[in-house]
Amino acid sequence: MKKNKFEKYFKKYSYNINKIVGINPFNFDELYSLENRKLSKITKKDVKQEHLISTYIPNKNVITYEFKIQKNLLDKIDLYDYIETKSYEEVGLDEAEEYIFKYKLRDSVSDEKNVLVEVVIVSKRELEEFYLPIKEEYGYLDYITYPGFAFNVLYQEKIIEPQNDLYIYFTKDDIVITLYSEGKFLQTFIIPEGLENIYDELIESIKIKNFNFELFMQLLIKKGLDLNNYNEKEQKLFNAVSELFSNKFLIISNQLHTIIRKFSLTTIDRIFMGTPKGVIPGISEFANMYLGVEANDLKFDLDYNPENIEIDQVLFLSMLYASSAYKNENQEDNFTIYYRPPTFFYRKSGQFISISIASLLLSLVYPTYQVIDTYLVNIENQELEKELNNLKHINKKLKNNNKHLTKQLKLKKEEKNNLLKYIKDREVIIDDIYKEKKGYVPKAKLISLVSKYLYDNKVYLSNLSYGNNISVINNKKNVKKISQNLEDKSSKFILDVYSKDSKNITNFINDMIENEHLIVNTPGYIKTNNFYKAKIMIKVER
Amino acid sequence: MNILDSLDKFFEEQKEQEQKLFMFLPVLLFGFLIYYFIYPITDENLNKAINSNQSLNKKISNIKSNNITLRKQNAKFSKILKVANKTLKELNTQKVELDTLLKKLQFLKFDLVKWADFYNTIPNLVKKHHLIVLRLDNLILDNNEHTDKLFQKKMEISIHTIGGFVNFIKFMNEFESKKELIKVRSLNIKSDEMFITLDIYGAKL
Repeated sequence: MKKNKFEKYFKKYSYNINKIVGINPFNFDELYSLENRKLSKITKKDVKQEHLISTYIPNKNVITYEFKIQKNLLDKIDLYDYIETKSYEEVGLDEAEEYIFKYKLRDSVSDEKNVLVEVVIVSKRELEEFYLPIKEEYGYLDYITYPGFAFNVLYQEKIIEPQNDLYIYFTKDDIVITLYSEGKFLQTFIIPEGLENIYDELIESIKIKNFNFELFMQLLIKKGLDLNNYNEKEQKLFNAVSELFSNKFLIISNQLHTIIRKFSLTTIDRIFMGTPKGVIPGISEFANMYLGVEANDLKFDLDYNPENIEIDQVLFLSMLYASSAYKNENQEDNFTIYYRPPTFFYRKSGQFISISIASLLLSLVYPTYQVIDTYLVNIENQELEKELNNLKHINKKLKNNNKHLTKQLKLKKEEKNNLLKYIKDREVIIDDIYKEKKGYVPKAKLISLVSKYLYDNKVYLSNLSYGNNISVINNKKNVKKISQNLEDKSSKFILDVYSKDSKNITNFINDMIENEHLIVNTPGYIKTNNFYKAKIMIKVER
Repeated sequence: MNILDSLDKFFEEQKEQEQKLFMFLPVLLFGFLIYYFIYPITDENLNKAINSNQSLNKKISNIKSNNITLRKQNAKFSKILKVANKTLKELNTQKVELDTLLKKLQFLKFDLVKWADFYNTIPNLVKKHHLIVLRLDNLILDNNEHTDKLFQKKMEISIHTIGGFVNFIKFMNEFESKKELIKVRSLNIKSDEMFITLDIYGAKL
């Protein structure tokens, strides 16, 4: 299913040759569908693109013309151009108008050198005007059949075997007689005295109230030419109808004899008769009576029409013919001027639009890639910005923390320095105090010690001085100046001593030096009045 | 006649070469339009986005690196701070100990009233040791030259006495045994006459 859907875009045409729509050329609203060998009546809205739309040309719009041409010329000339030129010259076509020419070649038994050309001519303008409503409704008209050619499908589709067949079709305006020989079209001739003419003649001879053409047609299809279908009161009517048809059959008979002679036929094998509304009962006997051949019903839709839908047989055959033509890919007999356009990709316009769209899309590929890439990069950038903001926030916190720590460290350092200074200062103070207290030699004790050694060595003290400058002891001006050291190192004891023996003085000095490790010196002693006197200096050091 | 029919009709009216030309026209037209009008915009936008991306990545890389450095630095600072706190705690303990010690040495602090009281006790002390004061002087001095020194004040006391030698030594010993910083500056003993100069120091605590 999907495959078919996909394939339809790549088919050149959108039609399905198994789905045919036939449009009655006399009433464009009358539509028939032939799908899978089943005929049905449809409406306009049922028509789909896949339907092949077909119709036929009414005979009144057709000009037929025939001429002979030498067989040996066929290969030497462009036959279509020849036919066209000859038709304009001999048929008296309006040179200002354009015509469509279709032709069939027929060999003649009696004339071996020549070939008969049966030309069917239709005005293009008339075709355009006549079928314009169909074109406007559906956009195209796939196939227009010439009715005379339509019977050919009976042989193509093997509905009947090829013989010498005569098709007599009573239409409202004409009696159309088409002759086929062994499956080949010979000629269509038209007797311009159709059913309406018979009706007119009938109502002239018999006065029937409210008996219109429609009622006449109903009478024909229902009772026709069969006496058994008429009651006694209708006998007069039957007689009148029979007489009128007899007249027509006489004309047909005359025409037939002419044709038989013309085409050198030995016999007519079959006659098929009918009307667009159906078959006329009893007409077969008339045919047998006037034409010498028993007639068959011109009704070929039996196998396709189980519901017995009323259909113009020529329209039905033209539908079959169109279908056959498309199956065989033969458009030789197609009179349409409103061809179905190819599917989108096969039309120049479609190709142009496709190329335009493809060009546009291809041109946009790289910019589109760039747009998508930009979009993706921008999304990434948004994420990166979030990450950056987060990192900035962390960085700010870290910096603040760092600043705080630096400040703390500075404060701690200051505090430490202050403390160290404080401690150092205090230590210095304590140390200084210690030094001063412990470094001081108590002089009273020293003098006591000196006194002891003096006594032990029998040395006597006459004077004792202590200071850095004994001679200025009493000079207050000098003591005002406090030396750098609290105790001047130059301070010393000066002892004026005397003894009877100089040894005593020496011993005293030795004791002081040896026992007390004092720095003692003396310039010497002098002897005066049996006493030795000496000046001893003791340096106080720790 | 719809647009497709019109186009079909237009192409039918053209020669084959012209048809090919018209078919190729959209390629040129759209190529030109896109290249000249759309591509510069999309290209500029993409370049902007890429540049922004590179810039952001660089900034992120820098800030990450900066954050790592800051973290390391903060960790280092925290460690140092911890050590500093410990050191400060120890120093404070030391300070308290020193302060306690210094408190005990407050008697060394310069105090004029205390010195006056002390000076006034000297006659009694002399009397106690059976000495006679011939002269008693005092002088309070500033150590202006060495302000950084601990002992910035000094009271110089000069005593001229008469009496026994031993008594004088005892008297002197009593001075020197006091807790205050008292030193003998000079001394002269001759027979029963004694002259002594004492310095009592006042500290700046």
